[in-house]
Amino acid sequence: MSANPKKVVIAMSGGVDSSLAARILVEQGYDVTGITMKLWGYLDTGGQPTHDSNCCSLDDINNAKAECASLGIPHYTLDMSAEFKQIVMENFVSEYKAGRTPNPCIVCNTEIKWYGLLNKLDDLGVDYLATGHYARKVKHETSDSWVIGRGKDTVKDQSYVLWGIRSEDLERTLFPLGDLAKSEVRQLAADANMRTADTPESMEICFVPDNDYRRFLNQQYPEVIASSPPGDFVNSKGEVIGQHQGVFNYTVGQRKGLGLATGERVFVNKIDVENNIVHVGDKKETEARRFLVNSCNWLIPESYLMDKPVKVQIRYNHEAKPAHISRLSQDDVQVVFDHPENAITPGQSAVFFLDDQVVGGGIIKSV
Amino acid sequence: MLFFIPSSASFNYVPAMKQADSIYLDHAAATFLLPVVQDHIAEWVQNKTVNPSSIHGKGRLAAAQLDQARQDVASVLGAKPSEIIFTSGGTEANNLALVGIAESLEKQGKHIITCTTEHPSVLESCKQLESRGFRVTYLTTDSKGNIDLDELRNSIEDDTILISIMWVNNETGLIHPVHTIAGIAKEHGIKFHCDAAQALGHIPIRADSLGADAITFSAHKIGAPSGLGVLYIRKGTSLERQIQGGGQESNHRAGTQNLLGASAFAKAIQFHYDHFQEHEAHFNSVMIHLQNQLLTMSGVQINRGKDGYSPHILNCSFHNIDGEALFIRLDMKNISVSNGAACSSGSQAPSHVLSALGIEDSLAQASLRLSLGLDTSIAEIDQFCDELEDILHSIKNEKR
Repeated sequence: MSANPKKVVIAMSGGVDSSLAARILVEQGYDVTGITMKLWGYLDTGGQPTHDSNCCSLDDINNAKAECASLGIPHYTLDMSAEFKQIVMENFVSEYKAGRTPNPCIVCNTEIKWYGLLNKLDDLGVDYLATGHYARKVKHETSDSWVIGRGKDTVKDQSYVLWGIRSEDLERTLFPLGDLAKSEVRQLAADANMRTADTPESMEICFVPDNDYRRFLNQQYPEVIASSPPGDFVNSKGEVIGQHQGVFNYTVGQRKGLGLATGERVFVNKIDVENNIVHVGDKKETEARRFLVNSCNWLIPESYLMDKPVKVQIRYNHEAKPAHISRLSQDDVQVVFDHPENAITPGQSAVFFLDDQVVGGGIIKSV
Repeated sequence: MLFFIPSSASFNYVPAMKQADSIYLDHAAATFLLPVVQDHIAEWVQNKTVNPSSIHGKGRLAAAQLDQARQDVASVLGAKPSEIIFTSGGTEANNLALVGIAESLEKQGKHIITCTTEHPSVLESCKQLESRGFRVTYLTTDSKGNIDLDELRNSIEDDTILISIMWVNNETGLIHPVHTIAGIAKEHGIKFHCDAAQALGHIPIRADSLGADAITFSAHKIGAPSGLGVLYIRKGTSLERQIQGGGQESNHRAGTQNLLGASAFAKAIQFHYDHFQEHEAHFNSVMIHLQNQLLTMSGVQINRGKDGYSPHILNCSFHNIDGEALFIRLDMKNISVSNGAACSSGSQAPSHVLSALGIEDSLAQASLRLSLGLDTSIAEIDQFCDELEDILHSIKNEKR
């Protein structure tokens, strides 16, 4: 690289992925600085300091610091807990309160990791933001826009959670792990004797380390729970078949934990907050083809997508399926799958793919 | 590099760790080891020094060295050797003074007076005592950090047992009128503790003339290694010990003594007192230069008055600047300062001292503590100010 290498900030969680990404950037000749964002404290979330093994614990911050020290690059911890609480946690709570199922990781990526951090990085005179996501930044040929390609590791691919990155922010983004498989990342980390080589995978929501969001809401936002009283389970015939424990406890497509002894498998197919009713039925009744999406972000001009064949992914573990999208109003975009899909869940993200590349997305508003 | 010329053979201060491309303005956090201390350590590691509590010959030798260190420290401070307790640092000394004195006087009263701008090691000790039934009055300050002595007098109650006020504030450099406070305490038969960690080396402290019952000192603030503190405790002042074990430190503090730390501290304090006037002239002239340079910059607020401040600490705030970004940019240029707020977990709570001074959170967050050392030169200050101006300029311009 030239005598004046580009300045990159790598967002580091203290895990193996972002630590190896930092190492790769250093080897590529960038002027690299590690940043760990302090997003929440165990005490704020009712967790146990000694039990937390996820990002934002002291151990993880220290891991990130140590990896940077061994690379000879600076590391800083930025306290973004106020923004995180105000934007990510409040959204998480209000979505559940509204009978929807949020994906806080996506809100965090969009608003904190990219928009918020890049805003801070402007003050530092940094050229690029890098993360350890398994995704690729690629040029969409016809529109000449940057879009997000799937990571080489199809199992670890995280392109779905990155749809909200603003186009101008993606321009300034690097994904050093896009061409690596997770197993290669671990091997490279082990070869380099990195202390994070064996850090466990984080699968759950970082601020709900025990994976029990009901416990989290109960402890941290009791006023929200108090405003979500028990109500009726109603089947497709309009019959009340039981009592639910408050709408925040349920998600569309849910079967377990309903406490209904109907003798057959029933699934939640709709949550009606206004009337405090949780609708249930057989699996077929959770299927739909058409739904509305809002809060959209576009990485290529909309005109490339409207009324054209695209693929749409409706949750993290869903395989993107053929669909057509069209604009209904200034706020709403309609998605119609070619074939019915199970459990299209309000609050989750619908991500639009063109040629296996993320070109946009939005939040599922209603089915 | 130094503007003052060594006047005697023993005064050979040569900055050892100095790198041309780095500027260190965080001497109030820890300053570099003095050459006289480096020499002492180099000698010391050659010796096979053992536990000073051992009663065999080698132990007695170690005990004699410790005794010598204690005597040296006592003589410089105008104290008796038996009044010097070696601790693990200033924090432990403050904990020991606050909790140790309060516990020993519990039967006489349960009221303590301190100030909102004290060091956390004092404030947290007070909180602990509050949880055990003591009452604590936290004196508020004016916008410079001064306490009102009338308010202090009015806060004294029948069962007030202890007043604890620091000599020099560690974030702003403000000097408190501790002689007067010691007088007020004495008048009312109340014990007075003074945290002098930031005053040592900058004020010619004499325990006998201050009239305090307990005084805290810290080694790494004056060029000795960290891990050593001193609590001066006036003869006759009762003190419950806080660390249990053997009878070391006249039964005030159990645990094998840090002999290297104690002897290094003795060398360092002696050095400072021997060269006090030269040092004072150096700090004053560099500080005046720094202050004058900062005054020429726009958007900089200097949280410091003309008089009544230690010449090694200057706190300043930057309007419309992200403090984190400023700190990181300076660090990227190898300029070390303190933003007075970052803790190990990265939480950025605004400084309790600046908050107590009425500085709003956003401005407190954009504040730096600049602190000078013996080797800080005028040229370094100029270089620092140039870099600072560049950074402030680019932060303002690069905002999208």
